[in-house]
Amino acid sequence: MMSLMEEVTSTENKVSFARQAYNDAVMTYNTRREVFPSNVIASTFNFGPAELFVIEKPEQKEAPKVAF
Amino acid sequence: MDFFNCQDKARRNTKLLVFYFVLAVLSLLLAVNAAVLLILAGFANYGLLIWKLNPISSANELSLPFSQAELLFFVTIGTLVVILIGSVFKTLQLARGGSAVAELLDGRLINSNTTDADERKLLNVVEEMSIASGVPVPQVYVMDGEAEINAFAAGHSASDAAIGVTRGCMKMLSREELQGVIAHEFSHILNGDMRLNLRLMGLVFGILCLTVIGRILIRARRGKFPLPLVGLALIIIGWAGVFFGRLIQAAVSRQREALADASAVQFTRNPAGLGGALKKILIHGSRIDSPHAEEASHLFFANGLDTSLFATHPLLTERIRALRSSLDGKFPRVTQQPTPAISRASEVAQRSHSLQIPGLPRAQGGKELVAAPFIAEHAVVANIGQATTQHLCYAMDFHQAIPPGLQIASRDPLGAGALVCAFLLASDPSTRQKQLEDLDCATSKAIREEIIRIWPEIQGMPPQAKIPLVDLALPALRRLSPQQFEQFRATTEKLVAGKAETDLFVYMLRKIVVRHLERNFFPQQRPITEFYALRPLAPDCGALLSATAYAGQENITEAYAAFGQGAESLSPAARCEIPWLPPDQCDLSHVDAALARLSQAVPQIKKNVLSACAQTVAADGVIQEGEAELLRAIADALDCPVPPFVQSQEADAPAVAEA
Repeated sequence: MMSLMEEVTSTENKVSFARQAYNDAVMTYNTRREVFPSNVIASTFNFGPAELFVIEKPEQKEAPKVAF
Repeated sequence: MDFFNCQDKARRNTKLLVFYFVLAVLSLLLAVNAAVLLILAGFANYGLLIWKLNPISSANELSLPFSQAELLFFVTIGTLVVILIGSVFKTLQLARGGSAVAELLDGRLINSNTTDADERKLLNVVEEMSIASGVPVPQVYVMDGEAEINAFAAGHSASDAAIGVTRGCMKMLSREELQGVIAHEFSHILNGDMRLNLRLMGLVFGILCLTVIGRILIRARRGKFPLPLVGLALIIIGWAGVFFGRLIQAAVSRQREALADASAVQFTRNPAGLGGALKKILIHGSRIDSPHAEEASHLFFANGLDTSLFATHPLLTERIRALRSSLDGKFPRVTQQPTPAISRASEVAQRSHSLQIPGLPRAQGGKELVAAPFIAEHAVVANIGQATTQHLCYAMDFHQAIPPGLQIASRDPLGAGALVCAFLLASDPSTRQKQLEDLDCATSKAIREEIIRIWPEIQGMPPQAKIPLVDLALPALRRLSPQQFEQFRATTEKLVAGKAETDLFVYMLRKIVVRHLERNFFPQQRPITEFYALRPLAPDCGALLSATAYAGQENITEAYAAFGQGAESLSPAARCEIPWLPPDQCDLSHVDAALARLSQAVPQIKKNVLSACAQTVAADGVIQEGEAELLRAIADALDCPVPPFVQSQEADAPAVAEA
């Protein structure tokens, strides 16, 4: 039982960390796109902005319930 | 904490410090050149050499085939070459991969399909952090022999990285805190801190090589040219260089640690985790016992050794402050887990010839302590709510020593009910018979038979086993249906009332059970704090203390003396006299009412009352087991759990005064 709870907790954490890592990467990319040395290259080669991962529907925010 | 800002600041500072380092090396070169020139000039002044500051004159009278400019050039090149060769040599020597470093520090690789819960948790945390930081999952090592909290990350690149944690880290940190520590280590891997540190260490070693050359030169004799002096100059300059080089290297290391802390917060988005881990290190320490600790000291999470000027990590308090965690001066309590590696046999052996209870004074009545185990009265209140490893070991052994019949009985509602009723039976056979007959009419046959069945085992239990067994029976009793609980309550009441001379301890035992179960079955009746001062509770304290005094002493004068001791400690707090009640006025219903009112007081009052009870019980110079258990029962009725009294002489048969 304990190991199952541990696995569930870990999986939930991994999902949330993956989302966070993605958003961090998007933010870094968008920043670099605008900062001086690299914005020249970005505009030359038409690098577009990336979109952050957002959850619109509130039910997607809830963690799945585990009940026995 | 604004972690991106902190990271930028740390990176800027690192660049600044590396620049200082380069400046230091350049000034070293200048110093060497200047030293050579000065020495030559000095010799010239002494007339030993003919020499003028004339860089391009080729025909100088030095016995050297080159001009001064060429001389200086060669000196510079020579110094640089020495430093470079030394640093490359040292860097190669230190350039072990991550796994090699981990094994050097006695780490054990964790198998990825381990079944141990702590290791599994650690592996999961490492995987989570690798997702958060974007670094591939490294090898994870555990240093089994280290009990204090520390961790390290080693590896030149993300592909040969290894992370190690001490056993103390694995056991003592919560999941959040472990995430913080591991995220910190991942930051080291991501930012290439080990590479940077190794290069700096190599350079410092290269500077050290100058002193080696200097020592060789001291012994050289080459005619007129003053080589030994040059050697001396090299040694001095070299040492100065090493000193400043190490200073700068330590400063760089501190900046990288700050960077790692900030990155950890970025990965976990939770400064409290890392803050909690740092606070636990404040208490528990982070020393590494391995002999190679010094070599790898820059790799660890916190200072593995104590140094000040050359500290590789910022001060712990500074790190906590940077995280904006509140450091309010109160240390979180961390209980050390009993070490699993110690075998059971050695654990028992450890306990049997150990440890008196701390602060054990001699009896204050002048009586000799013979066989009765002695418990210091201030140990009672001090132990409330704080079980130590000793208690845990005692509890583990006690649990194993319970007869299997009783264990099984305590796990189902019927058996548990019978267990509690059996404890409430009198020890005198005729009274017991009468009680059982009374029971016959009131309850079902099954219970009665069960009681009779387990009675022999119950009889064999020592007094200090009663409260633990009753505590163990509570979970099963909570499974009773409400009607069954009512019936059980009525039964126990009858049992307690049925004795002609009711025993305070038995009464308290029943009270404990019924109180806990009532909370479970009637949850809306939670007690609210009503009493904030001791004064209105003075009569209740009087009742309780008098009853305790009567229970422990044989005649009234002794009881009065005992009461006096307890009341003395309470009177100043109550600002009035605690009344002494004659026996008929502190019978069980009075004590019941008194305890009900006292349990609605603030915790400080309860603590004072308990401490007064302990003094009353201890007034005759010795707290015996029966009295100790009475104390524990009273404490439980007041919601202040006192752990079992762990005694050093288990084998002595205690002289128990029947309460």
